[in-house]
Amino acid sequence: MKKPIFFTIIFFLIAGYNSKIVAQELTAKEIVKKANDKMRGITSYTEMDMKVIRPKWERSLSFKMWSKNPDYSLLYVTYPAKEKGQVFLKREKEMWNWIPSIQRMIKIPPSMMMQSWMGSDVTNDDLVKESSIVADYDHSIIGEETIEGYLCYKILLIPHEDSPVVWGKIITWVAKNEFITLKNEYYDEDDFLINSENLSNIKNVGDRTIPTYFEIVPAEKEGQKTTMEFKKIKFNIDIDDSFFSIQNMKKIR
Amino acid sequence: MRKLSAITTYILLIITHLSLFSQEKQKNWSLNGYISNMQTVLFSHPDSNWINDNLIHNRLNFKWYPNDYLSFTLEIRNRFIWGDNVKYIPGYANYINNYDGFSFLSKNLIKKQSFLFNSTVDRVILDFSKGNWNISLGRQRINWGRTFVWNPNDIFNSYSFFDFDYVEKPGSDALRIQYYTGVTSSVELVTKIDSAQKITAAGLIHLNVLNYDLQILAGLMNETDLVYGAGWEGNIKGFGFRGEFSYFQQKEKVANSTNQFLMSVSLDYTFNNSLFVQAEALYDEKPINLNNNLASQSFITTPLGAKNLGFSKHSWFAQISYPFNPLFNATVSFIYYPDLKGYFTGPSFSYSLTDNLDFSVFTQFFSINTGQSSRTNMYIGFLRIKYSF
Repeated sequence: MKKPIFFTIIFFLIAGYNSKIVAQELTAKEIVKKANDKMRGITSYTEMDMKVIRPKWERSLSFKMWSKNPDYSLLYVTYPAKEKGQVFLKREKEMWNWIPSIQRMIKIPPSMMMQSWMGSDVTNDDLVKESSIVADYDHSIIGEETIEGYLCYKILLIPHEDSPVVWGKIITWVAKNEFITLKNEYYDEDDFLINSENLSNIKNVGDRTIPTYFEIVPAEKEGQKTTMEFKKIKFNIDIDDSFFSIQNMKKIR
Repeated sequence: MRKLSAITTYILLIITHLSLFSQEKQKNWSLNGYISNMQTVLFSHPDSNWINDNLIHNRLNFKWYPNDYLSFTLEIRNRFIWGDNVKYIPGYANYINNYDGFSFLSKNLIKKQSFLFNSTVDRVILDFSKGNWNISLGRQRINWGRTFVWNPNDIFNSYSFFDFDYVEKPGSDALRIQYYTGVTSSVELVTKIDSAQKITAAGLIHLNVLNYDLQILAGLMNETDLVYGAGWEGNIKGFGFRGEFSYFQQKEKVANSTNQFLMSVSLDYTFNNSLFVQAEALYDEKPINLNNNLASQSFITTPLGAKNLGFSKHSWFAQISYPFNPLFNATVSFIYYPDLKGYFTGPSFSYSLTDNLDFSVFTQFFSINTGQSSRTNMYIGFLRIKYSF
């Protein structure tokens, strides 16, 4: 059997992206909540290009995705040619993969959802454990810094002692006037920086202004990063639960 | 011959014509496919005669969406083959052109002593979809299989696991009517006609219960066998757990009645480091008698029907796949046939050269017991470069 290429992970990436940081302290919480809400809608439609960049090579993946938080997503691969037309459906805890070339619907077991794509720098724990990060961290404002011309709150996230979190801490920067997250730094338990996440290309996408370009850069690996660019994003689109169906998987394009 | 080239010309016309008008709005057609070059070498012993073949394999997938309800699919498989099989195997050209369906859709366009050009339309489908209904007519793949190697539920198709270069597999000339009873459930009725004008007709109910996909089917296969079957897909502790079984009952009682039960069960698991393992078992109450006929490649390439899956009462399959780096993937498959004291093993490697270009090496090794103390072996190696567009 051919392994479905791990776009599976992307469901978590996008569906869960926004719940990344929730503050406990009231002011930090308000700031982060506002930043979160910016990237969040009950429903959304996204067209995204994702790139894994290594010193000697580069691979791309593009897809369209429809989401209805928190339970439903449908993802249609548009690039590369070899994978084009593959569809992934997530309904609550179940996932399916439709492979049109062999007209086969495959039910994806949980173990297969843990894969990353092309060894991208987006780790499984980042993605799958998103929701626990919400509950598992303490948050506090530790300063103000300017990033890309935006004056930002600098907020520290420390995981609770008994929480199953891989990071030792996370630092996030949120623009003061726009409430846009511009940067996240992920540290291990020994306080070494592992990944930096830079958000840029801030655009008005219709009903709000958000960053549309994400870059995840591993600290110790030169020439290596993973980028994600929203080519199109629409929030709060009119979409019914029944859109996320086996029937529609075979029809969508 | 004329028919095929006319179709091709028509496609090109449509494409060039439509591309002038397709702007921001989503195109109402698509064309994709691949072209590959594959070299094959086959021998029973490295010191024996090597049989060499070469295949240039092109696939064109064309889709047209005239409106929200209709779609039209045309897919063509072109093969240019040259080598020892073409030269020395009598009837090889006919074997290549053979298709279990309407014969006018495949043709050896060029047939010479040393090379062969075959073109086959293996999908041509008119599809109508409205509300919960979906009706499709034409040459199409009806894939009812739930496991990955042996599919007793896949009664509309026949294929060989070893024919890895043809993942799409042949289509059936069929009418399929599906009604979606819910977001994850449906019922369908399918009927097909094969090249011997024999009808296969069956119904399938598909349900999703307690996080399991379930299916139940019943029908008539090739006008000779009543078939009843069921299949499932779900998971146990993170493992993919799939299976299917069918019972074939001969419609009219004859001397050598061949009522037959087949069942396959599969488990798969992906580890955090991307190591993928998979195992599958097949029980076939009445396996195919190979008659020590391994050397005739038929063992490998002959398409198998849903009723003829095993060469042994039990068959065991295992596969391990691991990406040594994101571009380089290695896979080893293994099948054991206890009744033949025989096995198959197939290490393969693939390397991604660019987003759309892949280089692969496949090997297949077969060894079965063919007498008191003799074994028959066969080695096949493939080198393939494949460009997808």
